[in-house]
Amino acid sequence: MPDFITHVGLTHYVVLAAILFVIGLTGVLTSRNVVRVLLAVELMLSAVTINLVAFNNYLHTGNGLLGQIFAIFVLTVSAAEASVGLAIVIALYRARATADMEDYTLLKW
Amino acid sequence: MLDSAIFWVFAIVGVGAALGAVFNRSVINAALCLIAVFMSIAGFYVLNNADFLAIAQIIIYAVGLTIIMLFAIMFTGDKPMDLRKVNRMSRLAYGIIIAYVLALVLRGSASLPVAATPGISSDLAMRLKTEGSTLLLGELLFSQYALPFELASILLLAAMIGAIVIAKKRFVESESESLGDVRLAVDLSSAPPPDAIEGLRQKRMLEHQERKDALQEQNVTDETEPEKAGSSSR
Repeated sequence: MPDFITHVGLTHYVVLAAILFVIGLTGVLTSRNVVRVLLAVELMLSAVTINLVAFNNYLHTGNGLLGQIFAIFVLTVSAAEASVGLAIVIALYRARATADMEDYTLLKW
Repeated sequence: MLDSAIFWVFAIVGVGAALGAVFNRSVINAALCLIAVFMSIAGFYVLNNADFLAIAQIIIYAVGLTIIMLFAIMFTGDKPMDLRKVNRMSRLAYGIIIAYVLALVLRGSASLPVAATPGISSDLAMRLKTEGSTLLLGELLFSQYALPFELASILLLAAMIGAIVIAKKRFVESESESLGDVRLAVDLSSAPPPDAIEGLRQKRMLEHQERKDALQEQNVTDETEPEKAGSSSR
């Protein structure tokens, strides 16, 4: 078997995180449902967190868990972001009776 | 070797489920696919000596967040999406943006130091393997990173209060207030007469119904066309 299949290293994690991030970005750009956009944003955020943990494991020399600490804070912020984002979705739905991005034209000119 | 095999399993499941989460037509199914993505990401954490984060990922993302998402989906209705409405120019622009981001990251990762083996000291690696990362993370969070930890709790409190205030129903809920945009369109000081609001609401519902009908018609024609083609070839 080729070496890159049997020996998984840092590069694998970075490339994988990039692929997941780009899939999430595609979702943010192309979807019309608000909830789906939030879903894709969460996908992007956790794809980035893979990087933090992998870099901590492979490149952090010495006795440190800085990457994991940072990942915990990313987790916290994304939880806060999701709760506020979904509250905004609910409020928007109450005001306009639709979850379609194209119908939210209140701030459009 | 075993680590590599586990990595590939999680990678294939994760990327496949991520594609499902983005391109699945039903939003509910997309949210369910997202659970699989978060689970496989938790697997990557375990492979990288981050077991506490893996469990936190499952509890917060795969369970908590997805359930809130499902609530929001059920509040707003699961309308199947139609990618065809994205016009060709914007699709091209999206393609360029996405390809650029991917190329950028791949080019950057090519210049990474080739680290096939973990760089953390063997002493720490041994501690992580035997007793897990929870104790170490706890010690760090309550000593060296105590201030950011407390700030994070304030952030969560603020987010919670903000979410409640934004999403809660107003106490004086009336027809005109639930149609805030109508009031803005007319005049903020003088609310429109109730029949005007009723007319606007009916108009909007009619528009919605028309759009739905058009979509259904489109689907019907899509389904019948290949059938016709098949019958003509026969």
